[in-house]
Amino acid sequence: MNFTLASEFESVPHAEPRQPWKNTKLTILRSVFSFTVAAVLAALIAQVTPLAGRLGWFVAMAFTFPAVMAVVAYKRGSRAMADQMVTGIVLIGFTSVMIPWVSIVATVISRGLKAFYVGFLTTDMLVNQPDDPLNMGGVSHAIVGTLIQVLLASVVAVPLGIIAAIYIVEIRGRGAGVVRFFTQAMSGVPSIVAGLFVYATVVVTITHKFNAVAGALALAILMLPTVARTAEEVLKVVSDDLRASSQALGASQVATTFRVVLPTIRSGLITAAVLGVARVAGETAPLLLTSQYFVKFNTNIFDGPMASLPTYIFSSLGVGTDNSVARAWAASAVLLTLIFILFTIARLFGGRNRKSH
Amino acid sequence: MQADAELEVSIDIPEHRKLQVTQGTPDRIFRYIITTGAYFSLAVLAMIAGFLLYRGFQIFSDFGLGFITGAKWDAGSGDETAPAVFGVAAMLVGSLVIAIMAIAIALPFAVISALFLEYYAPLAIRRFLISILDLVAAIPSVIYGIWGYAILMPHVVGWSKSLNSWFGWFPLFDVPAPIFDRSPFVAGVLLALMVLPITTSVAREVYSQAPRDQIDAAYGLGATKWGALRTVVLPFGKSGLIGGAMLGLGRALGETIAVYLVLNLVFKINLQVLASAGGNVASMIATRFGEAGPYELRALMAAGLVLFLLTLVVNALATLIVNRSKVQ
Amino acid sequence: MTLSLVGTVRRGSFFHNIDLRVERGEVFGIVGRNGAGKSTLLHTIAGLIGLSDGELSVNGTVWDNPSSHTWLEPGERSCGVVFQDLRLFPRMTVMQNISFGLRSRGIAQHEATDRATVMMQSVGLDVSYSSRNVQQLSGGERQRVALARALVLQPEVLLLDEPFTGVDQHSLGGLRNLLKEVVAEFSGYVVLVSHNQTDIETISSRTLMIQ
Repeated sequence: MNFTLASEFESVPHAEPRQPWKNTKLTILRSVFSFTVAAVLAALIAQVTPLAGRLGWFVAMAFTFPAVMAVVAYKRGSRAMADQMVTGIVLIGFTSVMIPWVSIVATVISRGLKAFYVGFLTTDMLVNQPDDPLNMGGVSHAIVGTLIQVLLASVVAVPLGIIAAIYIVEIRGRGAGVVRFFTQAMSGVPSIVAGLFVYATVVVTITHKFNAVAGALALAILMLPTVARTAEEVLKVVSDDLRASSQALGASQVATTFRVVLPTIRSGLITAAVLGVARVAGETAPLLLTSQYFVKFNTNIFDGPMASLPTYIFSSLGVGTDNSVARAWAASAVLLTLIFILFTIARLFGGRNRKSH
Repeated sequence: MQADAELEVSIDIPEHRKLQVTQGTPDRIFRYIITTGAYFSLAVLAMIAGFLLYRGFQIFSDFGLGFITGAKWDAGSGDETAPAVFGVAAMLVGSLVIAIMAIAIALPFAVISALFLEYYAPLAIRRFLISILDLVAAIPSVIYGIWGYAILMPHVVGWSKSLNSWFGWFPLFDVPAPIFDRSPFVAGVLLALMVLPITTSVAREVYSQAPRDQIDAAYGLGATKWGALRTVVLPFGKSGLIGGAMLGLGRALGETIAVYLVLNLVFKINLQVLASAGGNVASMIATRFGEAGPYELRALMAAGLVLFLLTLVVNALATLIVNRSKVQ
Repeated sequence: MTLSLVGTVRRGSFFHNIDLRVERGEVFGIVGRNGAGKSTLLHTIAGLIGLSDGELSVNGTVWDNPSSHTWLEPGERSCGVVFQDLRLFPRMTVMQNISFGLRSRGIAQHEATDRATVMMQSVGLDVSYSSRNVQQLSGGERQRVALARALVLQPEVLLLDEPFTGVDQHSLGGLRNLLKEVVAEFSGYVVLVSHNQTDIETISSRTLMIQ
């Protein structure tokens, strides 16, 4: 008899595997086999029933795949059959969840490209009617309007969001729980209510006219919770040792926060801001009540309506002719691209931030 | 010895001092500013309620409880012959019907997606799929709306016809006329899709905190993967899932533009979800806002207040439930 | 007739080399300090961790061999585990806990209940406990539930991970005697690990110290 049990670096905690289950070659082979059989069966079923097209095949698949998975496990008993059936349901279920989103992106891009020409990004709608041919007019005014209003919203919401996060994480005041709770509750304010509120306060009481600042304020209300929550998560990553060592050297809390804590998480704060922007860049309802839509770029942010991509889409849809709806799709593609770019930026900064810790 | 004696003399043990953190003036100002700023969100919430109440107060005093219980919304002709009548009952019922339908459809898919992401997806693509989920959560509602109208609705109309022909005897699936587009069902399916990301990500987060020890124990005693998930993960995540569903419900109640685009606004309490008539408070405000006179604007403010309070309660409850289930 | 485990377990950048042979009927005790890999060893036999190379076989049946793609899931292994810190299912009753393994193997409800009831009596648990929630039990009683949960499977291999931790002093004696009895009647393989040498020596027929 012979026994050794030697481990290297044994006192260091192990990187635990996430799950105890093993995907062996055999289980993967079984799944692939079941998938193939189920696919063929589903095609046959789609032939003999009213289920038509790729979607009809997929619906049939949603039944055949879990069933075949279960049948393949027949020899291993009823528990194994139930397990395999659930595996089939989970795989099919997740795939079916992805279908609409793939469809949204694919439809917006393919329909958007039909109405798209280079000038679409550089001209406005001042001299064109929504129903004009698709090689005239564009969304330059809406792009600029969206950027201006989102920028103005950021000027308000980003500092306030970061302040809320600083209060919760750095100051740890008595009201930290309350502030966090109400900031989270604020994220549930319906966007139309934010618009109605700004309309009731700013537009009716002060400016008496639709304007871009009102639109930006409505967006700021919706943006604040996203910034606050992301900033809070980022601030929590900073180790207390860093704060303690700064204060041990005699630094005040102000200096610790602004010279030590915030600089180390700069990229994380940028992520927070960008996610906030992505959250509101596509908001339509609040802008309909505050900055409305106008056919050309408005240089005065305090006076008169200002276009934005979402309200451009909305008003083009409202016109309802073939060409105006095509314009709406093209503008949707522009808006979706803008949001995806913002998201990628946020991820890039977030990734860099994580690496530095 | 002499050195010791000297030492004894020289050592002067101070009085026990209380450790005091002196706060400089800059720090006090800093704390003051941050604290004030932090309470801003609270102030905004209070101001929203306050201003909407202030602007809509006349409506509440004119119509009283009838504003909540009445289904008729008519700006009138401005004179004695046809006085204005405002009630949000039809829209409130519509909001609830659509939102509950959306959650009922979304919840099973959210559970499946969360289980997939946490326990079935290969580790290599897991992070990627989770960021996809974050990304689709940011798709603007106007884009959901335009896609819902152009692509989703024709499909849902087909499903509605089948539902109606098989289950038409059931009052909810009956229709007064065979018109199935722009129905509450269409809006419910679209909203299900829109609330899926947030519900899934809450569920996933809760499931990820299920005790690994217990999962191991179940598996080690011979349970299958599904057996372990059913024994340990699903019971553990139950309350978190309810919280996530309620967060989704809050979102669905307040959705405006997507509902506006796929739902036919009719001021009548309608529970026949396949029929082409319905509405919700949010989209009604957007619809009526453009042509409303001063008196109707007040009514819209009052409707906004009702919607605000409803979503606030739902969201506050959801937040409480989710936070509590995270603490466990 | 042996239980043989020879090979390597990898977890991230750490690895354990294992070479273990246990004869049938033997009670094999392993003593070692915390972190020496005792639990890892038991989890490998139970099927919670796979070997990265080598082979695990019991009575000549291969349970795990990566090079020949042989892998039996825990449910297919004739193996009962008493986990360190027990890991009873907190939302379940005593009966549900004990019959869990049987139900997982597809045994019908009434038969599982019958067998679990018999097992409860033989580990000294009153039958009236069966509908109690496990969180209401004392440390010693919980330990008995965990033992019953493993034994009710009538396993070929019984794995005991620190069976005396979390047990209060006055039920320790009774539990030690119970375990002695159980182990003496047990005809398969028993592998028992602990950080406490005296615990092990009173029960096991062969003891090994590891670093």
